[in-house]
Amino acid sequence: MNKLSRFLLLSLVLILASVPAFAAANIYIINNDGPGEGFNDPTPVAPVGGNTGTTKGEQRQIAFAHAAEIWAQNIDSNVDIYVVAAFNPLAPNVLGSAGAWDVFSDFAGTPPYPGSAFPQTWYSSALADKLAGYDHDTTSPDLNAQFSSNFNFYLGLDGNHGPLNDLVAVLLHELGHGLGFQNFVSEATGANLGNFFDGPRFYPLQTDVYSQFTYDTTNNMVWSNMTQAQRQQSAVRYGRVVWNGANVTAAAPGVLSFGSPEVRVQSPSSIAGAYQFGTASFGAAIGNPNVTATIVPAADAANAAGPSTTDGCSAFTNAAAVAGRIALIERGTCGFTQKVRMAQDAGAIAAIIYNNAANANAAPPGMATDPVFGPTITIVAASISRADALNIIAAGNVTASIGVDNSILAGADTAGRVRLYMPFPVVSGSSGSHYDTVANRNLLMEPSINGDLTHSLNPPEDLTMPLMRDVGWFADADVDGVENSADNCPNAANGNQANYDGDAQGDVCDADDDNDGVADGSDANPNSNMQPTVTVGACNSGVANVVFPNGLTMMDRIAAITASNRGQFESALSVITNEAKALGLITGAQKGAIHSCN
Amino acid sequence: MIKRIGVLVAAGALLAGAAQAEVKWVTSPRAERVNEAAARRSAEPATQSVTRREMWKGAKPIIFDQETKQLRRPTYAEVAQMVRHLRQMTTKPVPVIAGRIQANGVHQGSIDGEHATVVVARATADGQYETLCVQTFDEAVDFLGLVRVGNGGDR
Repeated sequence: MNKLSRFLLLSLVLILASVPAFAAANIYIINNDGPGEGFNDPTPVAPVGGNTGTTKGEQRQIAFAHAAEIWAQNIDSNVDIYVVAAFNPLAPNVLGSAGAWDVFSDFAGTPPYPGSAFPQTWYSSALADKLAGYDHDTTSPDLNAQFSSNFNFYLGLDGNHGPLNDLVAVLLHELGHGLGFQNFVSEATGANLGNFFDGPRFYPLQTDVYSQFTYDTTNNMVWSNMTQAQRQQSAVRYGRVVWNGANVTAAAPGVLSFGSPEVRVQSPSSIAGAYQFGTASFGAAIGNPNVTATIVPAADAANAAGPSTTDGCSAFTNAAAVAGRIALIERGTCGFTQKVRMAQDAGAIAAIIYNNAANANAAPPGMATDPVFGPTITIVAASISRADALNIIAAGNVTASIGVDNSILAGADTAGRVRLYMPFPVVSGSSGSHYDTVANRNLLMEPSINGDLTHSLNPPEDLTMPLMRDVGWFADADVDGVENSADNCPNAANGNQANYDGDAQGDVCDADDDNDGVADGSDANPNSNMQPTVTVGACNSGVANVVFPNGLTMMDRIAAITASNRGQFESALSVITNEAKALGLITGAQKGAIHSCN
Repeated sequence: MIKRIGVLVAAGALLAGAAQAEVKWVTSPRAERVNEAAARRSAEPATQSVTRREMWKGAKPIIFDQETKQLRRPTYAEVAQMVRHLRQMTTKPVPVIAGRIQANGVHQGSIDGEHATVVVARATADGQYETLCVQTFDEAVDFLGLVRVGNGGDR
């Protein structure tokens, strides 16, 4: 195939990729690569997985357009979305990045576009444009994206990526962030985005729309209403920060499966909830069986086996209190297996190891086995962070469970709200701009871009679009600014919602605007006077306002009479009533009633 | 062949003309904003001096060597490149951003894409890569097992 053929074929693929489903957004991709690089790399390659490009650059273009097309088919906007994109020689192990170019707040919509739902709240550019109905900045892109030209992505479109990383999935994920699936908070400090000056005037930090739905079940607050310090604390409350948008919560049961492995504090309510935990590669598996009991801090002698009375490295001195309960043991000095063995010997039904001071800022560790104690352990063990453990100890009488709760959706809280990823410490994982990794099935917007993802953004495969709906990407297939569910013509643009006959269909999609039984196409007046009875002047005849075969009503015709005197009017009225009588639309008596009004 | 493809392109164009949603490649001066910002960032003396002063090493084997088919730690040169790129890509505009109030009262925060998320990957023993989408430099280096050496400052 020569160069021209390849160009035409590529054009065909890209054009066909623009055929819409029942949504409407235009996504315009600006190729920011120079000649011979990135999207323009001329290296010959074989077509793969439905990607028909014959050079590396063509295949990157097709894969990028494919991911953009999936988004374009799912979101609705009357404002074109511009994405500046490039493939660059990034460092090893750095695959790429994307994000919103600008943010906007306090924008009114061009009616009927709703504008921003929350005051003093940042929205990413593309979403702000959609809600306002106009482009806030015609000189800037909405998103910027760059990906690695060094990394060996799978460039097929079919998801059959084998051992390689699926570029389309990575693109879908990153474009999702740029379109609004992200907060603008610094999780490490809890700070909102940007103070700024406009000339001499100072504008303080503002929250963002994502944070309006980021809900902490510990203090029952959304991030937008928290202080910076509260947000900072919330950002590491693993399992206790959820998305409280209605669309996600409604969709979750259709996507997530029941059965969530958890370490959960049941009471007291002040510290109740799911806790971040590490698992052990020895003892019973979590959920086999489920365990619920009081937590008792272990006490042992400070001796050669372990210098503290909380390290559990020797026989417990409070074995009677631990028996039948969950032992809580501090990490350090001796191995995990030795501590759990001591708990088992004391009669504990489970053991929880918490990080010691040296690991105060570390995530709960995975606990390896050893050949000495490991094979002898039969109880279940888990690890938790030091901060969580200290809260448990301070609370006193704490009841907890370790197991698989089949009444809870994997990835949701007990109320069915989907969890956001808030690991401790922040640095060990990604931010709250993701769903929690415990979600099952795997979701596109988890921090890890898992190998079993489909390219769907919607239930039953995924929960991305429900969240996008919550932040403001309302469904608007005809992009007229009126949400589908409230639109009297959801597939025909009619921002004014004009509806002459007041029925369920607006005029632009109603075959008979005035509901007179004559289709608009052959109706002499599609917007007839449909008052119920014939009136002449102020006199109501009580006779039905009948419809003539051409779609004019009696009142249309009476209104059209031009007469300079009463006699002329009477004569013209007679023409109408006689015709109506001849057609059997009115009786002689009704004709008389009409004329008696004159 | 060319003629047949040409007909298909024409048909596709008609179809696309009727479409509501559209994805296409365009040239636009909007890209200049990105290029200007990139040039500005690379010229910032503060960023340059920080990256020059920093010394990092790879503490974990995260690269799958195609020749030996073994995992290996990244070299100093590779680590330096990772750190440089990750610094640039995870730049955050907090606490002060460029902003303006538009004539219609709309607040515009010009973050120039500086709240992007970054996807990093580390190889596993079978040559595959596990990924993580991060927002900060610290998250990225933690995942990649990069550690700071010497007294190049705090982290």
